[in-house]
Order: sequence, then C-alpha cells, then structure tokens
Amino acid sequence: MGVGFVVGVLGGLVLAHAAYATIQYRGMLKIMEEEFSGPPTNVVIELLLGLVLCVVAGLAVPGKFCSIPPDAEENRVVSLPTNLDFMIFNHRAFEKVDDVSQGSSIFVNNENGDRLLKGQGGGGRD
Amino acid sequence: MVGAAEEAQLNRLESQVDNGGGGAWEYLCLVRKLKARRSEKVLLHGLSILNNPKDRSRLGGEEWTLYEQVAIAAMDCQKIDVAKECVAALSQKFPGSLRVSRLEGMLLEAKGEWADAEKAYTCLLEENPLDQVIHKRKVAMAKAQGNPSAAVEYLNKYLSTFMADHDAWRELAEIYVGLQMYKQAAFCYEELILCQPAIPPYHLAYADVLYTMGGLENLQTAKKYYASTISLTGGKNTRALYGICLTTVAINQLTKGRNKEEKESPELQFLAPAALLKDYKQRAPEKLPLLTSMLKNMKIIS
Repeated sequence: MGVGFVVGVLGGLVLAHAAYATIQYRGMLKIMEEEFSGPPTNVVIELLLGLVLCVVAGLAVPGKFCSIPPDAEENRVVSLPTNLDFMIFNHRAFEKVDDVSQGSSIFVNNENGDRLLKGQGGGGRD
Repeated sequence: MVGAAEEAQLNRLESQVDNGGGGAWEYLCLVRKLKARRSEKVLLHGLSILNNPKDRSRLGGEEWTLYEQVAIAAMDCQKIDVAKECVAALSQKFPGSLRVSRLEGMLLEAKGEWADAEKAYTCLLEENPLDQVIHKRKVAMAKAQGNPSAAVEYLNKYLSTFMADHDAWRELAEIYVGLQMYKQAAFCYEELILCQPAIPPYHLAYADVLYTMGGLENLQTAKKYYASTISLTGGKNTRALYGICLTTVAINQLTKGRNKEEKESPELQFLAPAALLKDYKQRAPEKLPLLTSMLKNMKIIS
C-alpha cells in the first residue's frame, strides 16, 4: 500500500510537470514566433514515465487480484451447500431425543430443563 | 457454493470456537453464509451468545437473525423447547411476520404434528400463493413422512412455476436417484448443468447417474462428464478420477471383440490412474498398496 501510494503520487507529479513544461514551451514558441509542430522530447518522456507510474500505482494500491480460473484454490468448489430449504427433522435425532435430553452436553445453562434462554423476555421488549 | 478456501476457514473457525478461542459470532455468520448444516455446534455456540445479555446486546439488530438460526438448529437437534422459546421471542418482536409464521410451521413439523403443519402452511399459502419457501417446506414434509412419490409430484408442480430454482432441481434429482429413476434424475442434472455450467459437483453427479444407467453411449457420455469435472477442479476430485477408471474398464468390456475404429483420447485411461497414484502417494501413502492392487485387478495398470 505505502510503496504503491508513493509511486502514484510521483506519477501524478511527473504528469503535472509535463503539463507545466508544455505550457512553458508554448510560451517560448510565441516569443520566438515559431509554429507549434509537436511536443518536445522531454515532455513525451515525462508523459510515458507518468503513465507507467500511474498504471503501476493503480494496480498496486486497490488490493490483490482475484483469480479467474474455476480450478484455482480460491474458486474451486469442493461441495455443494446443504439444501436447507428442504431440510427435514425426523432423522436420527428424532429417535435419540429421549436419551440425549438427560444430562446432555448441548445446554450450557440448563439446570432443570425448563428455562433455557435466560433473560430472553427482556431482549424481546427492548 | 462452498469453495476450498471457505471450507478450510470454516473448519479452522470451528476448532477455534470449540477450544474456547472466541469468534463464535464469526463462526455462526460463516455457517449461515455457506449454508452448512452444523446444527449441534450452532445450537451450542448460538445459545451461549443468546444466554449472555452482554454478548446479545452487542449484536444489535443481528440478534434476531441469530434467534432464527438457533431456532432452526434446535429443531434439527430435536430440542423442541429451545426452538419454542426462540420462536416465541421472535413472534413477540415481529408479530404477524411471514418469516416467523414459517418458523412456527417448521416447529410443528419438528414435533411431528404433520396435520397441523400442513394446515398452517395451507393457511399461509392462501395469503401468499407465491411463497417459494413454503412450497418447498411442503415438499420436505412429504419427504419426511416417507412419501417420496408425493414429494416428486409436488416438486414437479412447483418447478413448472419456478423453473429457475436450481435448489429445487437438485432436490428433485436427488429424490429421483433415491427412487432409482435414473433417466429422470439425469434430466434434472442436465437442467442444472445448463443453468450453472461451472459447478463441478453437478457434472460429477450427472456422470454418476449415467454410469449407473450403463450402456455404451451413456458410459461414453459419463466419461466426458468425469473429464469435465476433472478440468473444472484441476484434478483435485478423487471421485472423478475413479470415475474415469471405472468407465474406461466398462467401455473396454463392452467394446471387446468389436473393431475399435475411433477411440477418443486414448491417453486419458492412463492419465487418470497415474494421477490417482500420485495423489495417494502424497496424501495417504499407507493406502497406496490397496489402490495399486485394485487398479491391477481392473487391468488398468500393469
């Protein structure tokens, strides 16, 4: 981020200097009463340099690139999400429910099995 | 879709939360985003957030999302009383909400009160005849009652209205596979591949169905789809590699004796076992002899 940002600022400065040099050059041409045929070499070099610096900064500053190919590590699909809309509840837990509910490990604050969500009424009213 | 990186992140977060390293809310968010079904963990960690007033108030409006998530997880674990309290809290906050009424219907389902659930869903459908989730719940109910043919019928009717719903197509395909109606299942998978061509599990499932149906033409198509799975996953899908081996053997058996005028990509049948062997050597060297002897029996490698 830091290096890219500095490069970007540098590129902007180089471009600004190219603009300033062009204006100065045209003023000089007017004084010498010559025709404008093309920008001087130093301006062209500055413009190219500014372009390169700005492109580098534009690629480096915003962030990392994402990979496009489907078999890249970030994109590779390993499994489909569970089809939760069609979830059914009478699976093995249905039969197990009686022996699990006593002394179960699932409840954190469940001493007597009747008040499972403490202070839930207060949350409802806020 | 669950990417490789996302799955690794989920597992990492899960072990972190299980070992008391914090990050429970991030874990629950990721579970929701990836639509993973880890109800027991969601119930455990979600309840510990909900039971702690300080944690709960820190969530702000997201608290109600968590209530919904925990309610569904509780139904999945058959903790009806927890689910009831969550749904009660939600209906107190959002009276008359459709989403909460759906949850109430699901609660009836979880209790096994099918007639009441059916009645509740029919009532809701009268008000909103185009609610996709409720239609899907009715399909799931038929399935849960052990009546897959009714589920198929209902799902077909649903799909004639909502043709772009790929989750429903996938469910229909899975039910058809369960009913051993492979031709119909293959049609569903074709539909899925058409609407999401870059998702390898669909290619794989389609190839599996075709391989199960058998016949030379189906086997050749199956081989192509196994190959496309491999190219979409970068060769990291072991099942597709095995699929190539098996289809190759089956095709060779069928075409034995006949003149093989054109053979597509003859190197494929050597590449797939080679890739398998390499993969096993890297990740499970102790199982390598098993694989080698099996491939030798199939006469794929010498």
